[in-house]
Amino acid sequence: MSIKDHLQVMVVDDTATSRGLMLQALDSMGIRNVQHATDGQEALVKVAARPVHLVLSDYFMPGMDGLQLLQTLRRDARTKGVGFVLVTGRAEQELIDRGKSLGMNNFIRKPFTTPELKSCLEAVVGRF
Amino acid sequence: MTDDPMIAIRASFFEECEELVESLHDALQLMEQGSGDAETVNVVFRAVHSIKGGAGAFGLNDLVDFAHRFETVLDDLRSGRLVPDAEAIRLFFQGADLLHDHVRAARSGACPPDGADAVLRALEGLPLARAPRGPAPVDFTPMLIDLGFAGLAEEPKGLDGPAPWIIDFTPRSGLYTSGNEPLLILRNLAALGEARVTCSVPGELPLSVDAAELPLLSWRIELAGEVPEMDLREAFDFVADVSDLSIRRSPLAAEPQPSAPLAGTGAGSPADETGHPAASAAAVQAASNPPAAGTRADPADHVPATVRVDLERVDRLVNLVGELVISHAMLAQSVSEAGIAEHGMVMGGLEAFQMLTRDIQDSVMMIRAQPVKPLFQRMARTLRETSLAVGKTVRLLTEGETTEIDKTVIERLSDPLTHMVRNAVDHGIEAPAARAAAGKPAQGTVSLSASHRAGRVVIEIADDGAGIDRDRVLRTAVDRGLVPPDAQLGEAEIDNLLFLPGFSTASSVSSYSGRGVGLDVVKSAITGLGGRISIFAEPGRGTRFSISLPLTLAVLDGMVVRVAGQTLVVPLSAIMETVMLAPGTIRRIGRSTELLHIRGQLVPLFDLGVQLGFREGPGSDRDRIVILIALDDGGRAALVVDAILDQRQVVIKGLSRQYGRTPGVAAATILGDGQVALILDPSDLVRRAPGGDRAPLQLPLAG
Amino acid sequence: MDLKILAVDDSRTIRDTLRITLVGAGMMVTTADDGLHALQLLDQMDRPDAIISDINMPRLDGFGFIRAVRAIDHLRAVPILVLTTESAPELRERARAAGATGWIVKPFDPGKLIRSLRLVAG
Repeated sequence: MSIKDHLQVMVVDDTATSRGLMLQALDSMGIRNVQHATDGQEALVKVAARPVHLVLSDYFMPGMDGLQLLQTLRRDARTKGVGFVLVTGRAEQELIDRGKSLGMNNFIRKPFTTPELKSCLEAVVGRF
Repeated sequence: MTDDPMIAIRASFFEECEELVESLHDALQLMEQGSGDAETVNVVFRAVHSIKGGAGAFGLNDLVDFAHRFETVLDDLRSGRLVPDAEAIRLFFQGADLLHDHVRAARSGACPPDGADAVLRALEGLPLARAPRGPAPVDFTPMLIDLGFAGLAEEPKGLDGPAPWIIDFTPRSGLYTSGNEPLLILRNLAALGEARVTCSVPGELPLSVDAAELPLLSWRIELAGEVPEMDLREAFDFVADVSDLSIRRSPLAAEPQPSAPLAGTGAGSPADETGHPAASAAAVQAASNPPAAGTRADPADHVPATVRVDLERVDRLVNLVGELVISHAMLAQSVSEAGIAEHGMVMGGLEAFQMLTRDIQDSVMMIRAQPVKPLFQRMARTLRETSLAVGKTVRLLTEGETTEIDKTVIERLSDPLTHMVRNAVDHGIEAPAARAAAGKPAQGTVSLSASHRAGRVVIEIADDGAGIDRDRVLRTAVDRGLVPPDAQLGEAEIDNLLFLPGFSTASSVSSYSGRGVGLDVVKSAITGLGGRISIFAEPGRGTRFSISLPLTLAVLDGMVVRVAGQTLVVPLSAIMETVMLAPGTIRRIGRSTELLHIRGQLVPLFDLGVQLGFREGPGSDRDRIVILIALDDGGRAALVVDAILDQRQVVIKGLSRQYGRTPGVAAATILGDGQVALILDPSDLVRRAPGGDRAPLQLPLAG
Repeated sequence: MDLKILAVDDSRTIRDTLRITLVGAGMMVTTADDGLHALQLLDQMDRPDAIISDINMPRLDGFGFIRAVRAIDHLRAVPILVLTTESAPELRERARAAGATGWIVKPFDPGKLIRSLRLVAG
């Protein structure tokens, strides 16, 4: 059985369109165990109930931004090792450096193509 | 119909853009009023950022380009490098308006709007408090994770679920010649559980026709482990003897390894240190929360508060409900003609039915109702653009933005309201010098309000401008022959002259709004919606327009009356009361004008039969019924009918255009007996009647 | 799932039972009381989605009927299920040799019948 059949993923984004596009892209590469949340708070509640391997999160969100979510995830023993990919429309070095220091596994720029997303994810979970 | 999910996502993206633009405007308004904070700025930024992101995914390049440049400036705002002043905020509003235009252009495939570049350059030219960020190629190395963390095994079922099945199936020639079809067998298997099927095809396939039945293909099926072996074997019942079949469990999950890292994770896995210590605590976790393989995002995860519905479906529903109402009416008719007891079960049932129909109708109508806020925001934009173009400062006050109106009504209000806003700014509000001279603040005010009143929607638009120069209006009207020279008109009547066609008193033709778009155009748009418009002005102080609209376009509560053998419907909303005509209460003035003395007022009296041309003179004075009508402009009139038949809800059906606009008639309906009955427009009827525009006279009652 | 089935059996009871079962499952049924009659029907009707046939029938038995059907070009691959008695595996082999797709054991379990039809006819 392959990674993608068992990979548990959480998608976090405040815009329905972006969530929809991400879910669609994941589905087309065979990743089906996907939860989603509209903000960092909701994401934290959900992963506490159902652990995931990987979080794909937008950066600009109301309330908690993507890196704040990452920071919170890394601080909790239960979610310390979760894979985190930042999804952002603006990827300046400063932002990326901050993400790196917080333990982000990878990032991807919006808009992305499905192959780009796949490469990005494979760099985090291995080839599938 | 295509199943492409991208089409659905794209459609909902455009809906989302409308919401984002709305929130963008709201935030900018807060900033303009000085009551914005850091989060307000974030909202502004995120709105543009999100639109850009979505647009990029659908290749809407013009929109992306515009949004990107706008977003870059807003990023400077967000990071504090740009400190916004009034000028900047004004530019932001322009940017927002252009963004909206770009979105609409992208949605309809039209060309992007002009003038975008100039605005962007102005935005980019705003001075910054700090140096801007440079463009960045970014330096970053991705890090692999250990998938075994938190007890989430590569195969979560490894702990307590059975290993998956592996079925190898190779048909022999007897299979095909016996009419068996491997596809059906595979489908059957797939229906039993999560399956993955691989087909092996030999390197070379012979191409002869006979080859179609050669057993060249073989399949491997991997199936979820919980399926009972018996069910699997059943699928191969008829082909076991004509194929090579092997069904076995996958060896892979024989020893579950919850914390074993994946092969090939390589160096640099940040989770190394967490792999094992977490495993024991995590194993407990996993045991109690095993995620089921193959679940999609749990539908309970998102409970939408709203549902997007195709407008077409709603319209169909509205139509069907309308038919339901007619159907009920016909049923009620037949039942009553069948002589069924008035107060029995059947009638009671019909009444209950009617109430239910009414409830359904109300609910359905409300589905199409939407808040007027986006409409008001469009007016705000018109106001901004007009003020800019004519060099005046005007602010817009709005009230009742959450008032809900039927969607089609909102759409058809856009043009008339735009005209009125333009007129108010261009012609209503005076030039700054004139305002100063009159002791008014330099900034003019236009106010827009919406509310529900007495079963109708009332929209008012007012300005604090110069009001109406009544003398000039009257003179112009006389000059154009619209009123006789010696006419005695009250103030309200003079004001309402402005609704006559071709009427414009603007002595200067403004390059912006031309001669002042005729209010007759506005009025016919409003009456086309079944609404009324009236005007109240105070010279020197301002002008107010009041529009009253029906809540819904499709049904009407009406009083069914008979006049000269014809059946008509009078809208209940216009009816104040009905009384028996008592001969002593009529006063005659002149040859043909009658007044009714009622409640201390003398009210113009009209015989409907005569007004509608059904008969020459009034019928007998006896036993006639008077319906007291409230007119649009606040006046009263009395209509005489022969009999009142019923009071019921009718479905409005428009009259075919070939019949033109009959004075006094709004529409038609189909009654229970299948007859077509005209629906009156009492105000229109009265206005066109001779003597109809007389305001009621107040008379103190003697004694 | 409007499968069109042709059922051939000389027993009226069996024909009626088959009809009730199949119609109850939403399928359409045509019946014939022997092989020759069935061949005539096949000549006139649209190709059925599946054929159910008894083995012991007068004039033309099940095997002969199946062979005859298979000889018809457009019916070469039509799914045919034979009705057999439990304890006669050699009958199944003969049926297979004649070209039968599968079998139904008499007395038949309605659920199994429907499942079998779905398995061979979709």
